[in-house]
Amino acid sequence: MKLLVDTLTSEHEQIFSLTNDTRYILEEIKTYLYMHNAPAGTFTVTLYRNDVELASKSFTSADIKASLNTDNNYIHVFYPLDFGFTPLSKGTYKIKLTSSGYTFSESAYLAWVKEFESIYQEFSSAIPLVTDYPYSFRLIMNTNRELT
Amino acid sequence: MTLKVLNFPDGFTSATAPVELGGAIIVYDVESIIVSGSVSSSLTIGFQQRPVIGDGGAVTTANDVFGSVGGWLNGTQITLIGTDDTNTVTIPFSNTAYGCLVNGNATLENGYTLTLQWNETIERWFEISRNF
Repeated sequence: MKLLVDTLTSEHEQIFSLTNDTRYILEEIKTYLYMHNAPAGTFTVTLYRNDVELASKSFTSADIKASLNTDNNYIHVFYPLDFGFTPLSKGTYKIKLTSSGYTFSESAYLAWVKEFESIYQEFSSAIPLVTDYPYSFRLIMNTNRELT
Repeated sequence: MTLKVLNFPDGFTSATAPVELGGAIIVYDVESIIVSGSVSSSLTIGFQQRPVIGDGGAVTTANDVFGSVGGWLNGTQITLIGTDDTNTVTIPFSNTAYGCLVNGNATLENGYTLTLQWNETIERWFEISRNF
């Protein structure tokens, strides 16, 4: 298996749209990450709507390893972050990956995996440039919980 | 944006790093080269773009322009870019191990490019193109 990854040097962001006239309750965002040799620092995934921050969650390399109950340092994973039932609706959103206390190096870094086409975007007949491939993530919605 | 293509072979365990393939082009910062010095290179990046400048004046690199350690991915392609009309960097022709089989010495002035490709079996860097 081969993965196309974009190393985190400053920040990465991915825009996506929810197109149905439905109200959603977001439980988790799973960004598809590759951790190379457990870099130091704290990483944060933040969800925005119209550039307004809705929620954010932070984690470290140790958290990724702990989530898989491993001491290994080279991990690719849809890393789940609990967004605590954040209500969403039809609209355009942005997920941003940032860091603090982290510096990229070839020997230790975090990267966000890219995929050919996002399941959250409209399909396009145009073949995108590799550099325009979307970052990979999954949204976990709770379809059973009512909004209060 | 710095893209990497990582290969996770069958049986991969997360205890060791995956192999980085050569699909991505990595652009490096300008490197100052001393007389008879070497240009840095990565053993794991297949396509590298490396701007260079002579250290304090015009310089000629060593015959083994990227050193003599070896171990590059077979077929690695490195494009050298000159960045100064005075502090030029000359890549010498050298038909010796780790040398460059260039079509005559290549003196890189500002904006001049030279693309070399590594052949592991022959242990030479071959000139693919130059723009001057």
